[in-house]
Amino acid sequence: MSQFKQVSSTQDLVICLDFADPHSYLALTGSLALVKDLNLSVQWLPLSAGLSRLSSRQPMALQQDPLAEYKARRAQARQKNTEAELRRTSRLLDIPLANCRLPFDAAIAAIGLLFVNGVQADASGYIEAVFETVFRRGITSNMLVTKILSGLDVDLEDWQHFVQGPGPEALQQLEDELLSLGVFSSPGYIHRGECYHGRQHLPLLRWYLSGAKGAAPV
Amino acid sequence: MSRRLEVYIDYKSPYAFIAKDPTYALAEEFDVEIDWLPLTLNIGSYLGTAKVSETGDVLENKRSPRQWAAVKYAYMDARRYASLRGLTLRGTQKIWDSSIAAIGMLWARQQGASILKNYTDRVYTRFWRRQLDIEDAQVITDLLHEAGANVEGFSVYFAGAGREEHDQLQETLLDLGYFGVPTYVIDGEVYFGREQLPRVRWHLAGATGPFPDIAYDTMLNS
Repeated sequence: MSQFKQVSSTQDLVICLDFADPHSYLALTGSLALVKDLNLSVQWLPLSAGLSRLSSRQPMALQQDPLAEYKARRAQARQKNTEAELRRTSRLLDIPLANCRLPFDAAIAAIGLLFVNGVQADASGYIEAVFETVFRRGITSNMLVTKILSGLDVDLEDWQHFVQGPGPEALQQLEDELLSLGVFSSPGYIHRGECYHGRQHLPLLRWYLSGAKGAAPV
Repeated sequence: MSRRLEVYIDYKSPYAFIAKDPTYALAEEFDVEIDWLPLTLNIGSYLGTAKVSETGDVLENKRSPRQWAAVKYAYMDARRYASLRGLTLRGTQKIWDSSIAAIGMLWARQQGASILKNYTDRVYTRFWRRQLDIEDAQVITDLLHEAGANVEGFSVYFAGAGREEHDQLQETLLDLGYFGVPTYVIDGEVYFGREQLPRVRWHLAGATGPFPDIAYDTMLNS
């Protein structure tokens, strides 16, 4: 497959979500409201294996590394914070905490989003359905994507060709492209070439996208 | 009921720098005295190390591409909010050891909230303009003096009890699960990051009504 740019530079906003990440799910309502309220053109993209998840892995306690003990203790402290944030996220989403911890490989769902982007103008219905299925209903089977797509007006045969053909490579290329643009954590936003990690930026994005009038929400 | 709010900062963190004024604003709004404490980050242990020249050329590099991406993003992110607030935030050229400035913070803290505020404001403003060597004990002593602190005995404290207190605190904080700055502790809850200020405010207001989501907004605009 030839290298081509998948990330739009012409849309008002690019929104990158990780289907395995409850923080991305929590960001969805605010992100959809922003798009709707300001009538924005938007590109929805999948993002998986974010840096935040990679960096929260327990580091190896290598004997040669004088900082190994510190790294391991800091990683434990960080994990404690991650757990606390998950509890808060489940509270805000009003879903069981266990649903925030479901082991879910989001790759197929991510490829599904690339597929939907290619055949439908608005992918938000697909995105909402995936998040609802995973986090509210606790279904993490890879078949969930095909089931969701069967409820949308798409050709399932085309989907099978995509997921078994160019889809995985397209996802890898997209992730490389996103990293080169500085997007490594979900939810991620790109506006005018600048990236924003986290839903905490939504007030500032709204301010910029509304014309930057009045005091900036800082 | 008066609530205790602990805030942990590190002078070499751009995120803690831009959290300072919104945190002051919150304390003023609720008439709460904040207990400021140092959490000295060992940035090199998790983001690698590098040195850059005045013009931004990389002179020494022990970072992976992802670590570079994280570091570059952190400065860019902090800078965009800083510039909207009229603050100067120049990227650092190396990873600084901020423990001496942190011991200065512990010293200033013993002498009252206004002296600590004077000291913290001066350290942050000058450090992020690249006008302050926070690894120089004499520079920190002079700054404490300028902030109104009595510096008699600081040199002894800095080398002895202060260093011990600082190092012991860092050990304790890791055990408590505090790993980054700014960290806010209130009502037994630990919140990491400036984006948590709406939740800190919720606690200060009595923890009634819906639990708020995170956001970088309105502490300075409300």
